Amino acid sequence: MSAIDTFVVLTAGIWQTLNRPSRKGVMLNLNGERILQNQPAIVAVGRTKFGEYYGKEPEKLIEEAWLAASKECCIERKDLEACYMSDCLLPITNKLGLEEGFLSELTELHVPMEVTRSFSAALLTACHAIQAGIYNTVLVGGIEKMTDRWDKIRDDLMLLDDPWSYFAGGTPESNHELMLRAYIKKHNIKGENLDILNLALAEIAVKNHANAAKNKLAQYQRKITVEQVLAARKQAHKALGLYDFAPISDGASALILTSDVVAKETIDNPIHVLGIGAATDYLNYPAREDLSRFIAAEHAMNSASKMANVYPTNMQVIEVNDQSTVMEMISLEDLGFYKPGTAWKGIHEGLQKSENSYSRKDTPIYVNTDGGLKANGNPLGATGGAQIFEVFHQLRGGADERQVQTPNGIPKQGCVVEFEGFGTKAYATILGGKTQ
Amino acid sequence: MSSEPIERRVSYLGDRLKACRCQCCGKEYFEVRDYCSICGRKSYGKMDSIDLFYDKGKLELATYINEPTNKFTKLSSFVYGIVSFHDGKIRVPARLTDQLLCDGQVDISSLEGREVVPRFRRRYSVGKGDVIPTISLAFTLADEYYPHQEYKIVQPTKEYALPGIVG
Repeated sequence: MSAIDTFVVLTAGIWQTLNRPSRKGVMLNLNGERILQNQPAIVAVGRTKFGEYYGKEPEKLIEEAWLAASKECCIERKDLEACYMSDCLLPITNKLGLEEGFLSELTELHVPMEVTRSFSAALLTACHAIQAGIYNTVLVGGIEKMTDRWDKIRDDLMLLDDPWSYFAGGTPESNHELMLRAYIKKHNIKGENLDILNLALAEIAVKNHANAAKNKLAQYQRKITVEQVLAARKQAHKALGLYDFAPISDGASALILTSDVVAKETIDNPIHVLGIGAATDYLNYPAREDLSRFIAAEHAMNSASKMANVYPTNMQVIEVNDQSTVMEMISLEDLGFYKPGTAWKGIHEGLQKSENSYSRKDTPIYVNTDGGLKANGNPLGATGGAQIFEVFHQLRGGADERQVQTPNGIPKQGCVVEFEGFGTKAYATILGGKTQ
Repeated sequence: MSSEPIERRVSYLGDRLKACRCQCCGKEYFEVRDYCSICGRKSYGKMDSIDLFYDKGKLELATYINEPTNKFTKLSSFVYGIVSFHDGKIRVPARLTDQLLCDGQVDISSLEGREVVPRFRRRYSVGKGDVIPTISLAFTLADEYYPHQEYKIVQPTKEYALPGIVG
């Protein structure tokens, strides 16, 4: 090697050393795990009532949600440094290609705006921006106007969820039914146990409707009975009937996310995003390795709980994405609340004793206290916002009639799980008071 | 709803049930791929094309659809499920055709585990010059009425049966 070559190698080495990313800014906990710096905090939440709004423009809905959030804290539209909006089907249902543009027109703001498909995805992006220290105050909003295309929405949903199943003749409901069949076969549930499983699923729907009856913003504020759920299944000649599935809804939700410093100045007890995680699975449901569970939910929850440094099982307020009653049951297993194949027992036992809690090792867990997607409504882009709205109020003790009381007072931590498609993408968010 | 180019692409794969197998690790995929997602770059050009259309599948899971999507309104009600090939190496969504069911009279779960054969079906007739739309991923139960016929290439035995220039 010549002298010049040695010089070149040495200089390259020094250059690389100088450009190595610095680890100085990364905060680690005692176990050496990376924790959040600039912990993002939610200072205000707002949402509209979910339902069928044939006479309303989508703009009106997002405006209503934003005004409700803005009214809660003293943050005005001019304080916003960026907006993250979510909608899943708005370009299809309302032929809107550039949602950011109409949001800009609405708020008269020219700040950066981005659109994602689900509320939790928007929140994840907003959290990253705040953690990176780029912004201090951002708006996260979600909107959906599904009834504007009510005659074709089932085709659209299926084509987006799982195209091959759509081309084979599947409906948005059929994947849930197949998943239930896969679950029953895998865990070999027969005879009396199968009856209890079916009853437990019916009780989930009844519980969600009972919770929604106390929620003024829910789509269905009426109670139903187990008999009604079972009769609907019988009428459909299927394992799952009308009362097992979430409806098609319109609605919007919004929240204001700030950095820790701004949150302290704005309100007394902000709710922090302790951990947030996302994971992805195959689009084609039949091609997935295990048909009886959502692997994405498990991965998302693992990364969120690692970030928050808490066990997901310590939480008592849980919002899961119950597009069907089966999804609620299986999600609880994926999140680690029950062992695979046993959730239905805990659900049935819990709902025998109380109206709205499941039993897990003799401690109650409260799932979908706002009525879940089943009764609260499921406007895809805004669903996650409504879930976070509920946990935010539960943790601050402001959920009125629905307020959960634990032996130690109001719950301290809660989690939200949201799906995109049929478990294709999963987002887990852990909310709570500041940990450090 | 999908467009004609999408329909054409879908029917190219779905009607014939085209699949592929990695020569390196043996993993199989529904749809045609240029490389295996496990082996990556080294499997490029080493993917065998396989045709599931002449294979016999197994109906793993089944359910009943009586309120289909707009695309299948004409079919009214049918059995829908998941069919696996090659001992579960490939799973595809499937619809059973020619299976008339009276509401509630048949226990759908009793169909699970039965063998099925892929079928080619025309969806509806259009003008003479148009492309005939077909439906993908249709199957029938492999029973006495629709037995499974093994796919064999038979070489002609007699000289006059060989292809050649005639006239």
